[in-house]
Amino acid sequence: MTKADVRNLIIIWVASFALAALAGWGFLMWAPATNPVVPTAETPTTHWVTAPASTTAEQVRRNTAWTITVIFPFLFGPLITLGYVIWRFTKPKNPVPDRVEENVPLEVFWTLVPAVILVAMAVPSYQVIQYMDRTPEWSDDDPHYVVDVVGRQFDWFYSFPKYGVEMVDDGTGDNPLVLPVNRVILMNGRSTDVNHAWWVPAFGIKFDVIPGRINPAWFRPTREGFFKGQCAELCGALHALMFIHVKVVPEAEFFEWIIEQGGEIPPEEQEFVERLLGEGREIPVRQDQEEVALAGSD
Amino acid sequence: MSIGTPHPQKPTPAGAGHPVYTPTESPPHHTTEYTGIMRWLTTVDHKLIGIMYLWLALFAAVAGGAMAGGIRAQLAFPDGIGGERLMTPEFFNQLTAMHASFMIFFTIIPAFAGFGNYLIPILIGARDMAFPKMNAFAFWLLIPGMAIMLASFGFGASQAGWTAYPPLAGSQYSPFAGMDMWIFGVHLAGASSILAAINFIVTMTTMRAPGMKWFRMPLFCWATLVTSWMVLVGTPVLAGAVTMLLTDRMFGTGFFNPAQGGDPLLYQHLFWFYSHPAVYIMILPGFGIVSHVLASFSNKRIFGYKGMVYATAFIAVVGFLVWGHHMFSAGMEPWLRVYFSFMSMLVAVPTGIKVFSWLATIWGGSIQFTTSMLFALGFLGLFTIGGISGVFLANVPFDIQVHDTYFVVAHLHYVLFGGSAFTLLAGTYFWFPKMTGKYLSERLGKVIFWLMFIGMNLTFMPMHWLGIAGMARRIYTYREEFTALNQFVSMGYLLMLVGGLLLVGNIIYTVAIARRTAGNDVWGVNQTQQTLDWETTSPPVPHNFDRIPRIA
Repeated sequence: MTKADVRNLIIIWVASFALAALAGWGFLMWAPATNPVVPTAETPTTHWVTAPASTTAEQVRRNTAWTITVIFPFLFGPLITLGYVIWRFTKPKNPVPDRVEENVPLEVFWTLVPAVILVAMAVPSYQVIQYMDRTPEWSDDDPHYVVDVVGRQFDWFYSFPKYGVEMVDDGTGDNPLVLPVNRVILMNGRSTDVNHAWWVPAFGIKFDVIPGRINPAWFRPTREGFFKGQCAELCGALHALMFIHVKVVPEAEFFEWIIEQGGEIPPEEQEFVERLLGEGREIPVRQDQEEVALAGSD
Repeated sequence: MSIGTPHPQKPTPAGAGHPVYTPTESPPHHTTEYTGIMRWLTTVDHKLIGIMYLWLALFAAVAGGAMAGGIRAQLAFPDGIGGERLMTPEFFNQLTAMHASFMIFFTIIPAFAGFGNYLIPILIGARDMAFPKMNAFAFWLLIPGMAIMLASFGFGASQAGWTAYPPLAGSQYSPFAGMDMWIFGVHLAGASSILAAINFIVTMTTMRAPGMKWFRMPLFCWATLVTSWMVLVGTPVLAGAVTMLLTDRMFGTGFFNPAQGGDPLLYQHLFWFYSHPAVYIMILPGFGIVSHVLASFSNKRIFGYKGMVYATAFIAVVGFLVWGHHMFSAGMEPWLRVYFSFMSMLVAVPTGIKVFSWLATIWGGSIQFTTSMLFALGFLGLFTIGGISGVFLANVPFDIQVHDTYFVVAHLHYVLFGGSAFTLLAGTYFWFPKMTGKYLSERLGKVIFWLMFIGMNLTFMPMHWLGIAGMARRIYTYREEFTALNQFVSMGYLLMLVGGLLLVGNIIYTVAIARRTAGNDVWGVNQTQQTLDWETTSPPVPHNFDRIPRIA
């Protein structure tokens, strides 16, 4: 080992940090380039990196870019160092090996630095966890739309308890779940047979549905379009075909769909929906007051 | 049967760890009553048992590799060839479950047990394991275990993945005898592991040669010792979990059935309490092996020996506190997510110490590119990649996105194939001459290495991308857009297949036909390494050493 080797080692590691920062930045920049693509039923591919479609997915994407920035030095560093060693310290080039067996300050250094970096990675990640775990406050301006999800071998059963709408997505895409854009969607996941997992990559959430439990999750879709996901927990022979289809539409269109599905609007929302759908539109209003009070799961 | 006379007569250089022979102890009287096949069936010699472990692992690797071939064939042609479907979805799920079960329970774990059996007594200067008969029993348990699992294909093999989550693995959704056979197979493999672990612990605690202090034990011994403790703590929990699953299936207990007050999530907790540490059980001995190989072929001693030992122990302890990171999406308290996430990231610190220490070991060395060294260097690169993707998976927001996708498949194959399997191959090339007295072909070995190395990267690197792009794992068909990448991945498998077949052929040829040429110090590395495996003949005499070495 010569002084030049030490210098090269330092260069390698500085370069690794720089490369990692570049990689993290590239990861972030890559997304807007393809962002304008509106997913349709024909091209349902939705990618949480290139086209995040909810506030959660956007947070996950940014957090991933940050993780790349702080962790990739420890990918590039060892790999480039390894390459350097293989090139430099061969038997012909370095016939007399060093006899260094330990270097305590160096060992303390490479224990502490990764530990500090991990904290730099962990803290922002916990902020995202917190974001995912705390449903935004309900308000008249920002109401929640509650969807009950039931995973079954091998389709998805959805219901909007408030509107009395029930539907099944059989995985073919003919009957997608319809959700309003820019609204908080609160999902309660249940299962009646085996474990499944509801996952749409573009929305940045995944939750297992497990018999005997209700697993809640929330997200706020930010883009209109047609989104596709699939069951993400092995659930039997046709697990692969348990696709999920979601169509995100403007709120007015959402209520059109609810009415089309035979849903009824609770009286307290009648005025709001009338305003949305425009004058002269007949709105089916739910009569049974008591039941409304029960179904209003907010 | 004594082969040659071990008589290491090298000038004694000053330095720790070099054995000095005391004339007071004479070799034990050793009688061999049987020859041929009976010798193997009746043996309690740790070396023969170790070799049988390795043969078993090789057989299981071929079987598991063939199953992987089935998986890759189906995924290359999900719609079949010429309208003819390759396999049913049920069979595909059987393949994924059994591929993993074979590779984990009957390839990697027994292979490390094989190396441990063979090498531990030699490396610590003992004549045999502490409990030779129990040692043989532990090995012979694996045979019915593997036979039951293999036979389960005839009775509706498990379709529930190697994790066998209820309710899918319960009697209602898996009403086949094959599922019960899978459980019995796991029981037998687990019992074998526990017995072997007790044996290793007692052997290393009580039978080290005079002067072999704890901190003079070679790193492979330390790795096996720590691994054995992990097996001892973790495996009974797995056995309990699958036993509860069994009684749920057989006798209608309701541990995991919500209708009877049970909880499917309980199984996941119990399962991962073992199966996350199992990940380290499957890699720590490999860490030990590459520590020997990297130091030997760079003509240096291992860098930061004590740091390596402490890091190994630290990984083992923290390894038991992180199981929940397999369940981030299963529903758990927010603070538990934070806890498991942080502990999982913490594993990166001792793992980093190891990677840096290996780099420091080869830094400034005189590297000889033997096949063994190539696999060790390949391991170092591939394991770094697998370790880094592991840190990403400890990050909850990212993990929730890629959990149960091909990203996880990529990660686990980088650590289990690029990691464990490469260390096993490095160890095989390293100690094969010691075990048989014969060298494996170096020229062919390098071809095998490059086939494996390139093949594994072609196979598993694109899987990261597939997972991020949204391809779930354990699916027999996928969205059209993933077709090209999947076919590419399947081509990578073919390279590994060729490499694997060449390796098996070379091993069989060498064992059967090649001549013994290896001396005591097979690779000429003992001047620097000073470990006891190079102080005895190749292969060693049945009692290992004519006189128990004294370490000065």
